[in-house]
Amino acid sequence: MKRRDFIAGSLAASGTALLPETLLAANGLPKPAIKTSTAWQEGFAGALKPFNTNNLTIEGKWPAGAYGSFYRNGPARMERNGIRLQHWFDGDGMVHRFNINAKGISHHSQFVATEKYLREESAQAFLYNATGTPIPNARSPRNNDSVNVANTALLPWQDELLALWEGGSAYSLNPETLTTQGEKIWSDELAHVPFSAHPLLEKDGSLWNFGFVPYGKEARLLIYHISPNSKVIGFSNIVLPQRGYFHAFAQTADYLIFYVSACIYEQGETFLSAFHWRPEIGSKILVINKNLLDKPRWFDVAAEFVFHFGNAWQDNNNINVVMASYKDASLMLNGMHKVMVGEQPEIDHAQMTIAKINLQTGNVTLNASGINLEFPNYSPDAAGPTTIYGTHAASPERKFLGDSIAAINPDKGLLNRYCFGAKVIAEEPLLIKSSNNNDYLISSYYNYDKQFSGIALFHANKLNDGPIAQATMDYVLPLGFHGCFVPTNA
Amino acid sequence: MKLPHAHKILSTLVLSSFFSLNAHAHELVLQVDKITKTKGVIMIALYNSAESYKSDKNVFNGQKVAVTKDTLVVNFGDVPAGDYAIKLYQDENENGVIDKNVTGMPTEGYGFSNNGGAMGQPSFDEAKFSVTDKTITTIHLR
Repeated sequence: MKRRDFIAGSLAASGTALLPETLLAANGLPKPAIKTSTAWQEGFAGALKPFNTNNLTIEGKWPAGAYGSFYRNGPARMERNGIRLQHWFDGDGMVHRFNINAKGISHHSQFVATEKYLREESAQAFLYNATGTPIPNARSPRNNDSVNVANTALLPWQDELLALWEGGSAYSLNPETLTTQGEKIWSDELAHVPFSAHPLLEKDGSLWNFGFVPYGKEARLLIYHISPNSKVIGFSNIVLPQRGYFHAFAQTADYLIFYVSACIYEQGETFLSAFHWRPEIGSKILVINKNLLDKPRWFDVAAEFVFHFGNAWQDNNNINVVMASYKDASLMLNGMHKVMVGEQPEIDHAQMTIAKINLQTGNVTLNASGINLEFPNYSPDAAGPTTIYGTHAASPERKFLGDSIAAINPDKGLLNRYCFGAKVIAEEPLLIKSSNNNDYLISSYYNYDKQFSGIALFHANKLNDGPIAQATMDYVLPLGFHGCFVPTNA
Repeated sequence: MKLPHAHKILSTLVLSSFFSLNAHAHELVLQVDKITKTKGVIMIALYNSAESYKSDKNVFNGQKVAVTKDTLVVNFGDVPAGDYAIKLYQDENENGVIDKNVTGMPTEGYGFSNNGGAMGQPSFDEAKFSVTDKTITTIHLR
């Protein structure tokens, strides 16, 4: 890697040389929050202070094989000084730790002390435009991390817990106390760059990740390969043929796979409002050989929208990728706004879709399963088709988020599922690998009938049996996005 | 130093200040605030035309000021009446350039007169201010 590869354009000019384009715009006034109420609104209300509960109520017997720390991240600071944020992506991240051991289960949390959070906490007001909400008289950000909310996902990394966003740096947390230790700067050139919330671990312990940079003269994809001791060992700066939103990626043994959607960055008052659904442009799948990072291959596909991927594998000349595929971007562009203003969105769920990409012919086949799926999770050991776990809507009446968790196989279809109830929102399930081949699945959930939250543990291959054990809170956990599980003595 | 001598020097300074104030009818004073890191220097460029502002050539007045606290004041002295604009950055590591990451985003603090530039560098028209009398302008370091 050469330093000049890092320099995008003529940046080495004199001190007062041109200064950059920054992320967010506009000083418009947010629209007033709609005061209608849905039963599940409490789940999107956020929190004003951290949670500290030493003994959750446990039902059933929590097996020692599933002792450890269950972490969750999600937007939580949704309101300041009379202004309520208008998009689910906006709130400052709060990280939760459920410490599960023989003594019981405790729940502690902390706001991620980002630069933005600390400044706004000090001012007791929002100072910067949020991802989807313009703030009156917003300050101009210095760079991406001025508006970083670290609210999306978590990655255990060495002796740290990284709180991830996608537009800026990861933030390092102490995994025990959740105290913020600062931005994770991998190298000077990569300071404050977009670092996605969905890095992928290589089998050798190194880490792949990317940054999506849709603004600027050319939209770019930055690819990072980071060694187990946090050194940048690979980098690529790729010009994108379209400014289509993407959030995550997939990998096989030899390739990285991206789905660049037809949700195109154009202009708007905020970062998110700059995106527009342009189905006529179509989507593109990008395949990059891990050993040839600067040689992307593009494949045209029909316009759909993808946040998350299951696993991917190679067979002969094909790359197969499991995706949770939406017919359009209305979840991000409309649904996540509606839930913040008291409306109940009706969105077509993502469905498990397998893309088969023939590297020899260039043909791409999309096989839609007809089974709805989000927040996919799977065994990292899988080298071929494997069971995908995820949230799922069992009830046809459920038009936004899942009421269930499900196990789905690309070849065999729906294996089994567990529905928490008509008035429950299930959150991302995580697979807990067990040494005796008795894997578990853990998931948090929100019961908006009785207004409480819980975490539930299942035998991964017997979801229909219901939870082996669960722990409940007498309060509502702010609905979040992603988490991780670190087993005891990991 | 004897007191009478010191008194004389002080009187001279006061008198010269008095005359200076009268003479500098177009005195330009810049205040910089919201400095979060007390290190390095603030590099300041004052421009008096759109061309020089855009090209960064023919800077009307350049200043380099050590950062010792979270605010600083720079007096450009007497300048001819007219329109001006300022760009500045904090050279924390004093390497002579504003450090940027791979995407071109600054990793050191910077600012423009009128505190504009939410979507890139503001134009000269957005950043310009008029000096017609004693003028004080404030830039919030971002």
